[in-house]
Amino acid sequence: MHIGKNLAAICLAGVLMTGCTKRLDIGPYQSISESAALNTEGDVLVTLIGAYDGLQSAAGYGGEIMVLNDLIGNSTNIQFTGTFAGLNDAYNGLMVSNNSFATGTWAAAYNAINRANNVLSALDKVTSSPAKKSSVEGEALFIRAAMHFELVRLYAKFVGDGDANTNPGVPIVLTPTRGITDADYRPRASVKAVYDQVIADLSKAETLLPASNGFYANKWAAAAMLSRVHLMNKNYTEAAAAANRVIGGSGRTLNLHPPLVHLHQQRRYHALRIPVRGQGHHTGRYQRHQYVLWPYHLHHSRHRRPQRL
Amino acid sequence: MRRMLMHAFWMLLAIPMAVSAQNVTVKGKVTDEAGAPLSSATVQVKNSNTAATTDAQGMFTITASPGSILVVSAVGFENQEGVVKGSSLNFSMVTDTKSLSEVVVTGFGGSQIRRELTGNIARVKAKDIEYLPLPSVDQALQGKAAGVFVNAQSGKLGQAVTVRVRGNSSISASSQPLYVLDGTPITTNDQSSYGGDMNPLTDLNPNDIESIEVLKDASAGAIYGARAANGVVLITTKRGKAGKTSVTFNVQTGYAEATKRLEMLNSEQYAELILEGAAYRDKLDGTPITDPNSWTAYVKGDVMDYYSYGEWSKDPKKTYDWQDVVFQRGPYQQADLQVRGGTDRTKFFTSFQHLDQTGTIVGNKLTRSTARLNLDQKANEWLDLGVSLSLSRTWNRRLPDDNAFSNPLQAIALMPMTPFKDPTTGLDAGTPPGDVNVPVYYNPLLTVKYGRFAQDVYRTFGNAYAQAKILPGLTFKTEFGLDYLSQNEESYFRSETIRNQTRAVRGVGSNLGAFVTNFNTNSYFTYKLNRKVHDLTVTAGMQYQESASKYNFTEGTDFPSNSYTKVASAATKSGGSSSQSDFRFLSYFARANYTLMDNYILALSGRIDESSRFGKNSRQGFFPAASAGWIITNEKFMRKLPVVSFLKLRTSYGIVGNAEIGNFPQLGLFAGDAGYAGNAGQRPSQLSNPDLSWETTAQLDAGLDFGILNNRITGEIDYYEKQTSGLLLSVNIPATTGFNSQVRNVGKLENKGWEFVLNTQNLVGKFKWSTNINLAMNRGKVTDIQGQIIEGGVSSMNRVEEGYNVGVFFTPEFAGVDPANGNALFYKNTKKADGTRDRTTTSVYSEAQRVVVGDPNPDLIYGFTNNFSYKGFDLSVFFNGVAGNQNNIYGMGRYSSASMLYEDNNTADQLRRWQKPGDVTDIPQVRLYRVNGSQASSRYIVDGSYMRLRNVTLGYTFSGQMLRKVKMEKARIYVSAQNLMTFTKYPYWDPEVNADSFDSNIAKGNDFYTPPQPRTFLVGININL
Repeated sequence: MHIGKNLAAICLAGVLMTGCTKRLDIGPYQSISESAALNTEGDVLVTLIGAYDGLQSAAGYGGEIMVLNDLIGNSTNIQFTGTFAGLNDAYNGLMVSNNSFATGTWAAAYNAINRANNVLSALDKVTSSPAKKSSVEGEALFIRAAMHFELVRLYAKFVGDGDANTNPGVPIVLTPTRGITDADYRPRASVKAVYDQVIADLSKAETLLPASNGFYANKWAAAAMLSRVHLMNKNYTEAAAAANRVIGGSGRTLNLHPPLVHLHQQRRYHALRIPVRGQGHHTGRYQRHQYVLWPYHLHHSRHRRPQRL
Repeated sequence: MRRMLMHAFWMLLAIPMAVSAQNVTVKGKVTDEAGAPLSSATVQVKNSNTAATTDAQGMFTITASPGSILVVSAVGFENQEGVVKGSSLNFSMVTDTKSLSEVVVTGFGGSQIRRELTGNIARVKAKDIEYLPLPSVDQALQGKAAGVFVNAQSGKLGQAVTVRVRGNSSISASSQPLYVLDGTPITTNDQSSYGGDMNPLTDLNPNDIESIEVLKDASAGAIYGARAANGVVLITTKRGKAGKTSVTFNVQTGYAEATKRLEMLNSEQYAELILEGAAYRDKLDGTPITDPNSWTAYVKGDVMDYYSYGEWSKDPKKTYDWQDVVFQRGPYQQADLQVRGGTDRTKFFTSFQHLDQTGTIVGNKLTRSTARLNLDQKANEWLDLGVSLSLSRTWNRRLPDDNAFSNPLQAIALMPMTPFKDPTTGLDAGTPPGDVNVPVYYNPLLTVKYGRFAQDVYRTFGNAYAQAKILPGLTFKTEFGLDYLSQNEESYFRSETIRNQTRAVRGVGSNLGAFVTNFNTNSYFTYKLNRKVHDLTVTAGMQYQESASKYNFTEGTDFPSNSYTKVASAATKSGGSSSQSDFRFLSYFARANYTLMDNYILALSGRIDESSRFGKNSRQGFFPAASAGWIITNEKFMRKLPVVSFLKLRTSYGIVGNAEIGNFPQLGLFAGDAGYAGNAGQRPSQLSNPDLSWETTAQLDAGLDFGILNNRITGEIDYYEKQTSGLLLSVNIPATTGFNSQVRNVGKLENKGWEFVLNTQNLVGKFKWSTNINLAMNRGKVTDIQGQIIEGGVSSMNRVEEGYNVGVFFTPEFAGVDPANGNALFYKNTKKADGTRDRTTTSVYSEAQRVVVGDPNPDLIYGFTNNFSYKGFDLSVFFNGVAGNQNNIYGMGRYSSASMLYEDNNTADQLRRWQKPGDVTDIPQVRLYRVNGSQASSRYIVDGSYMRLRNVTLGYTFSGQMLRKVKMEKARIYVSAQNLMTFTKYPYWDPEVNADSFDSNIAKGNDFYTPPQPRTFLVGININL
């Protein structure tokens, strides 16, 4: 055996065993680091789009906020048949704490709020024009307020049921989440405090938003939402005033006898409209779980339902 | 150099012998321990091709030079050697007690004789898993290795299998073991996009495997450091052997059918129940049942007649058991060719296989073709080179996941009066142009006929190595391994499936690609020192692994006609995506085994792991382990106790990790998947945690290995304790943050258990009988989850609760039926001030607290095999089982054992329902469309224990003159049955179940219309040339 050959072999072995720690510094492909996500005006604008995406979640305005309100609020005109136990419990007024629809809508609403707060935290990056900055701020405030409003409606007592000053409402979240500290375990604010925050956000949004804004939130959407908020807050004067601003300013009309089936297709009646993409909303057909909601009279007259969804 | 040493060795041996090397004729007799002659034993002159076989009287004649060595081998006996001194030489064979003399693979080139092993390693040999009608090797481990729990989950072909080594040692991270094939960690996670998880181990031909070693304790596993906490499965493939080329051809054919059918209501019984439920509603409403607006009239006309095309009122007895059309007898064929041989310098093993298996559920089919070449070359006296290459193609027409209306087994929900065919069209019920709203749910046969989803996987396992002897005793080995998985999935659903595939108005088709590359290099030194009383082996080296997974997807709708099925023809390209994810590991490891005077054994091992998966603040981990053994029977004082032929005490302690936490759980991320109304958007998607690292398992093992009566009885007893801390938990955080969870190292759990292995040679004469028993008891307990709520499974009934095993069933407790009114009752179980629970009952479901009512993890797992042989006959009978676990049948029970809450057909046990005041039963009153006891509760948690006659094989081996005339060495014909009998109290199809739609680390034991396992019968012939 040659010593040289042995040495060569040991050296080769050494080379093969040399570490390559740098190769471990890799990142994901479909995501980016949060530190690289909000540095330009473009970043803020796509985050605002993301906040709208938060609104259209299946558990949010994608459907379940409306479905839950209908099921909980209306037991005489709606008949529910379906295999979703969570919805059936809501319909029967027997919701338990782990009801998946209750937790789903709660999480979806705060998820959209966090997206809006991310936008609001980086407003200083929107520098192209003051009008653009106003619009971005107004849209984010609109989204944040809309979700706080839906939450307080679904998860707290109504205004007028006890004392809104002391009745617990829902936690108010006004900053984006980066890490988890004790401060993130927020207490429930009072019902009144939530309404105050929602009204403040929407009022500011109404002043900031332009009258026309494509299919994004505009001045009239904010006013229309504000009208609903005041209505729920039993402030009928403000509710009427806000509604009048929409009717007078938006050019939209009120349809008192909507043909239910086609209402969603008629844009002239829309002050607030969330287009929902195909993948975003519930498709109850494919999975074993399914549900059907239909006006009670249909079932009562034994009309066959067109299809078991 | 090795050759030089060998020569020297032979010369030393030859010195006392006659120097003349003239050949002489040697005659002799080979007998067993009892003195009975052994026929068909092979007598070979060592290191030559000269060989002879003994005749019926055990006699042989061979030509050999004086001083040469004769080696005698016979099936079931240890090889014997003898030096040629004169013209006669007799051999008395000793029954092979393999368990003590077998060589156990320990990873990174290491191996140890079991006698000297101080860690706990279970070994499964080729013989135990060859030619079973099981597509993947993990299933073959079932019941063969103590402490290794295997659940095949369902009867679908090529589906993922649950494997747990010594309990479940994680909650959010994977609990599956690490699989290492010939030195390369391989891809074993699901790559499919349809149906449940598939099993990438299906791409490996189980018959290529020489042995499987499961590294169970920390001492054995520490050399795999951060990846060993769930156990490590080392798979070693067959390699060439010097000598005559052996050609083995095996072909087997048979069929499979589902192990069980479920008893459902017939049409008359169904009508009885649903009308009873309708009458209850009419009574509530105050409507006479004869009223045309009554529920009763509705059920008769709009339900039973409508969904039977009007047949029900004409013939109320006519019943269609939908299980008849969704179960089928599936043919099974498999052919294997293996060629093995070589010379001193070049050795090869090559194999080919084709498998063609039709599922027991309609629409399921799997074919696999594999080829392998393993080559070892001695380049010169100091350098060895080798390659292994396996190519395979697995094609699988897959079934939908269990929770899909198109899952064929969901047809059991259809009413028994619904005919299979629409009488107006003669086509399957629900096929357009007939009424597509009949049956009551989608007819899954339409997807079988008019849809398909096929998965096509090409897989390459490759490995090349070079090993150099650097100095006496010191070798260096470097190896490069590749695992390349290339998968294409294609689907096309015709418009007939529209009720299920809502977008298939004019057809919907998709094409998906998955490309997973996995490179691995190992480089390590091994130093061996053999002195009189000292025996030392040291291994040290590094490993680097780099894995990249790339996926793409395209989908189209609106096809010109059903003749066009590729997305190219779709008018609308309705979907598309591509994505990638990588991970990397860099590791340094070392191991030292020291034996003093053959009595005292010490082993140390350790590994440093770095990974792209860990946070910046905790990128590197160190995992040490130590073990010691004492062979007591080598001590003088034990010689007074000759009945004990072997006794060894061993113990080990060490720390290992689990790094199967997903690829980037530590980073704070935004994702760009939040588009709205056609515009792209981004969203915060993950919270950062720079401290995130592996989870840590400290394991103590104490074991006793024994041999009694000259090792006719051998066994192992082990006790272990695994303490897992820093559990990688997806911790619930307030949803008000916009996130539901953050991955953190919190929480602790433990597993404690006993393992017993017993191998006995009950009869060793002409009639041979041996028994292998393994048995393991494990108690898992979550000790700290920091108050997190972690749920999963059907209706979130699986839960992680402190003080209980992972994934226990947590749901209200069913208290039976109120004899007064037929209401379902639940125990309130509210915690009282003194800590006890309120055992009063309530019919208001929301008043009942959820409590732990069951555990999907078995307390006891076992397997036992009896092997018999007499002359040419061999018989093997293998049972395995689990005990002490529960299953959750709420998935189907909520529809089919649910008092007509829905129009589903019901299980036959529902006939026991409450009917009138005073009835004592456990089935509540039938109330049409009304909930009465069909909520999630312990009513649907049932005993999942079973014992299964897993395999019986009877064979006959031909040998002797007749075969030699046709140039055959050996021929064996056999018949075999898999899953022949199951002993269980489980009410649904198969207790060995886990619904693929809900499968997660904590969601186990769920049944959701899950197909049962196949019972396979086959005949085969094995020819050896």
